[in-house]
Amino acid sequence: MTVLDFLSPSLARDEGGFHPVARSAAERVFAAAGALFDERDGWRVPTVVPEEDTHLEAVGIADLSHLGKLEVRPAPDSPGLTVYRLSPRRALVLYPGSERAAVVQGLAGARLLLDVTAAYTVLAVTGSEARTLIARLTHLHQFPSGGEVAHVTAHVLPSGEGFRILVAQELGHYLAEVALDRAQALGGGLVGVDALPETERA
Amino acid sequence: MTRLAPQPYELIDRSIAVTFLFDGKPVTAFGGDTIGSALYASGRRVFSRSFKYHRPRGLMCCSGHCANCQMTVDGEPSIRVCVTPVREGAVVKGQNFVGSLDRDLMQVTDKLGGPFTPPGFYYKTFIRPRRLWPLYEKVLRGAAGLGRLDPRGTPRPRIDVEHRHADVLVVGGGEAGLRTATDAASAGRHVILVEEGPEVGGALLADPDGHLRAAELKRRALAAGVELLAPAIAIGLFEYGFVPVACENRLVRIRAEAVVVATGIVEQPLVFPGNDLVGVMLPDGVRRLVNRFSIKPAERAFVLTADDRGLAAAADLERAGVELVGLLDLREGQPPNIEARGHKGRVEAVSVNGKLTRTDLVVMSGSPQPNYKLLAQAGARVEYDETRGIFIPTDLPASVTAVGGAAGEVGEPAVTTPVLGYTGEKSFICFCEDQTAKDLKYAIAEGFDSIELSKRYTTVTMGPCQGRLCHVNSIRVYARATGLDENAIGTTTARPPHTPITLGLLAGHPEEPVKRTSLHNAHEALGARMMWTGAWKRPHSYGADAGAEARQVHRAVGLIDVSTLGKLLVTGPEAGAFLDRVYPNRFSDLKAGRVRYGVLTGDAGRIMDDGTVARLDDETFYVTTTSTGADAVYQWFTWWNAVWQLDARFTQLTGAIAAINAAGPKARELMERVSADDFSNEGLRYLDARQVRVAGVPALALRIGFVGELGYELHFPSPHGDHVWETLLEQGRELDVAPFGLEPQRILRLEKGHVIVGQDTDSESNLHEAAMPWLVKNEKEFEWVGKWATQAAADRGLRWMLVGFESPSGAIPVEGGQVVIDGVSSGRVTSVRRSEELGKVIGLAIVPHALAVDGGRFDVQVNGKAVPMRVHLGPFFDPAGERLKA
Amino acid sequence: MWNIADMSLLVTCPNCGPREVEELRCAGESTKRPAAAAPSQRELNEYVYFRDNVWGVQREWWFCRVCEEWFLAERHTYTNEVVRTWHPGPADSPGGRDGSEAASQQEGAQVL
Repeated sequence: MTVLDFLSPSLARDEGGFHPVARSAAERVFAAAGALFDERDGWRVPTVVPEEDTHLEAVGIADLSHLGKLEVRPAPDSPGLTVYRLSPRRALVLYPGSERAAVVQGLAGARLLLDVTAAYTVLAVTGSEARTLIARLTHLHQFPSGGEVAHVTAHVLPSGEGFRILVAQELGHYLAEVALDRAQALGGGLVGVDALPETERA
Repeated sequence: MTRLAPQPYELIDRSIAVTFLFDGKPVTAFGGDTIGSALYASGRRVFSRSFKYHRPRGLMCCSGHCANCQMTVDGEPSIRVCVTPVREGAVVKGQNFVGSLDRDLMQVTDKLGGPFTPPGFYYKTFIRPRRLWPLYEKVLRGAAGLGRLDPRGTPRPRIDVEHRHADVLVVGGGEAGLRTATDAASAGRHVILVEEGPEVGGALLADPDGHLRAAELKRRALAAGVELLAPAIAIGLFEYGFVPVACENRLVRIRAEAVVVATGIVEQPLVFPGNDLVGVMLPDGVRRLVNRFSIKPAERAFVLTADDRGLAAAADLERAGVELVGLLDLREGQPPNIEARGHKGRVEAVSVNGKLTRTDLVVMSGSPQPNYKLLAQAGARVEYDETRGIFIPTDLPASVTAVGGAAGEVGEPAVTTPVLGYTGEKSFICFCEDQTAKDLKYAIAEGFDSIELSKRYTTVTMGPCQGRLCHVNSIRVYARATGLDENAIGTTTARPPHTPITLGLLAGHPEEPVKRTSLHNAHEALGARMMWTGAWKRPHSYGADAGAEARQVHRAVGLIDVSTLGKLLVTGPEAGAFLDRVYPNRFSDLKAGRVRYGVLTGDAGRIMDDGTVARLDDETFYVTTTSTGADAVYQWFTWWNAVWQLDARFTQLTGAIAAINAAGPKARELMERVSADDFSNEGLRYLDARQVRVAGVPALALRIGFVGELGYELHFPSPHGDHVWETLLEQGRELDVAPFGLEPQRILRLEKGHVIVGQDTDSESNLHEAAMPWLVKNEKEFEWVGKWATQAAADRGLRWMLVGFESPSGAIPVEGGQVVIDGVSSGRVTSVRRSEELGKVIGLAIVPHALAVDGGRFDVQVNGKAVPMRVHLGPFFDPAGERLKA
Repeated sequence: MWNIADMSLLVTCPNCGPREVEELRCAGESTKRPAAAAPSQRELNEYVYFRDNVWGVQREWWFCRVCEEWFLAERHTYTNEVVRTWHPGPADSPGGRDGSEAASQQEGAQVL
């Protein structure tokens, strides 16, 4: 136990008859579209969305907020990890929740290691129109990079053939709504995480 | 029948029939027609009425430059139909007339108005009687104008904003633009080309077979990898290669490393009496009608030209079977006196030095003017080339180049004298604004002799063409009238946009960012009234009675969502030392597991923000801030440490952590139902900070007391927000737990006399005068931020004090209500509420320091009357803090 | 929150590269915090309220909202040309850490 355990959603456990399940800020947007949810790694994850096959032909938005996220200082040199360098002094590492222990071990040399899983909403953008959707949300054009996305600060990371948008979770619902609006204008919409291509899923 | 037999190079597709409505009646067009060409082919010659005189106007340029063909299409006013492709079912109407386009009753202003409507007439007439101003305005506004907007609004199309980047942006898809783009793309650059018309080709499209060459150039460009956007209008050219482009229903914001301006030329009218009559056209206008749309524009034509373009028009007309009744090349011999005569606004004859020739079409061609607007707007200078009579851009900004006509490659036209005939009226300079050569000379005579002044007085160049057809001619008139040369006169400042665009396009797709806590949906499900706090949405209250909601906290236990609090982690060996430097009080001596209140001041001594600091271990501090101050405090801390470079790190956790405050006499009982940890008074004392597990979720419990009752503030990962909140409500049902919002919280904290930074403090408040002297620890070594000014305030003697007060009469002053002493404004009420628990009206106020004694009296203005208030020092409720420390 | 850019300025954050201006925050002219333990009222007022406000190249503080770090910039206040940007290092505040003796060379700024 560390003094910062209260940052980690994954440290919640069943106790006293209580069964905590973590929920994403974008959950309601997916629920409104009729998404089906599954419990994975302690999270309520939207795995299937009606008509996602049609959406995927243009552009699909999925919710990957259940991915683990660590803030690492200084920025590590760790091949094999998804590392997003914000500066030489600071980086974000994304990982599937179930691999937490191994990832933390691999970053043992860090000055500061913080579990920021709860801090960000992560939206996956996939499909042939993914790049166009990104262009309709933000001026960012080299990835990964961060900047103004739909009037707020967010980060856009490449992921397989698609992208991931990281935004502060208090803006997660808002950005999911905006991304859905843009996707619909392109003939796309929301998709479940299971509909993402293998390379973009985790 | 004006439509010619099929020509080998025509652009219309006669196998496609398109029908649209004009003035309620159907008009049939071919595929490839524009609305303008279709109307012309159907026999229409009058397309609009001029701005001021309501003179009939017909097609002139057919290139989207002039304003003559503006009509309302599907509810959208001022559409240039000469470049608008036909679409099935479009509803097209003329605009700016009373009656009909062909018989506009407002034309009386042309017949009678002349002497009454010189330039700037509205500065001289319609002044008295003043009480009729609203009527004048209404009449004038109705009489002069362009299109009308339907107040119920046309359905607004969806606008998308798109961002693009390129190595090279070429503006203009004529020959020069296409070649430059192709070359750059072949060299491996990423090139975008934007063309304002529906297809590329530019001037080539006027030639009979020009569109074949245009198609070949286009093919080569696409093969080289050029990205073509058409129709796409460049709105302006800004710093760092930023060019916003209006691309139908998209606003495309392009950033390019290099910009090439290939916007070509604008054909210029000649200036002579009658040059605005229906049937007087520019060469491109005529050539497009003939070559693209296979239209025979007239039976007879007279060509007046100062360059080869007019000759090309003459050749095309003859091919189309039009009788050329006259051809005057102004490059040969002395320019004669010219006049065009008409009947009911349509040209009938041309007079050359008095000799009359009947005609129904006049082609006029002045020196083609490089279209330099974008360059000028970007900061290029514009110079007059005397030999060719054109303005050329020079001194282009870095990374901007010009090619083709825009750069001045226009051949060797004649320098035409500005006015070919001073005898008559109605030698138009500005067709858009109905300004004649005589009007300009009047303006100069009245003293508006600088081009910038005159522009504003006469409004020349301020119409839809934005100077494309009038600027150069107006400068030449100036030169003649003032004796100055064109370079000395100069050009007026070019500003974007120089092609009209809709406001809707600039607005894009507006949306407003909203910050929500992870409990947002729970609040809505409970029927909370949500309100804005900065960019956050927070519950104001959950029912109609905020007072009762507050009392419930005193009676049982209440829950409030405080997730919006800013939360920062300050870590490192010198974290404590850092905090000692930015806070007036000390934190390096705070023991692990304890929490302390802190207020931040700037070096001006002003109170900036407040919150709590909990020490988690030697090198870890957990700092909270006000809800709207999170970013400011984070930036404040990181900025100071950028200066001091102490061994400390800062992380924002505001959104990562949800926070719920459970407060009330039954708060402990509630916690015991959701946690196995020790919440006894000895186990978790007042001002302790300890990690616990609540409903299975790890949490940091801070025992603090903003609302004055036994309370625990739980900080835990935000994704578990719903779970913890629902569990607390469920487990607390037997204890009468109830949620409470911001409004009841305000009442509760006011009962304790707790300050809200920004409400009870302002940009002049310092720690002493805000009644917090106990925070000032001057014995600290470092000159903490704000120390000097805070000390200076104490040294000079305190002038004000923030005090609690009661309203004995029960009258409730407004927040901000003035404290009045001997008729002088001497302070104000900062907070006030009625407390149901205490049964009285209480508040905080800034009063003169001398009044800050228990029982002191002062008056506050309430509804114009002075109402007495009584000072109450210390908390109103539970002054000893027994309930807090139970 | 930020509106669509009304300026098209690009400023280079030393971490993130060229950024649109609304992704940054300009905190104004760099000033010098008084070195003395108890500055006179005049010295305090000048520090808090007065600025050089040059027509020319100004040294100023910028915050990048993307990497959340501060940097210094030299920008021409008329042409808007940003001459250079860099992270403050020991060279920028030689007194650096203790902020007392060598504070005369230290730079502070009122963050508005």
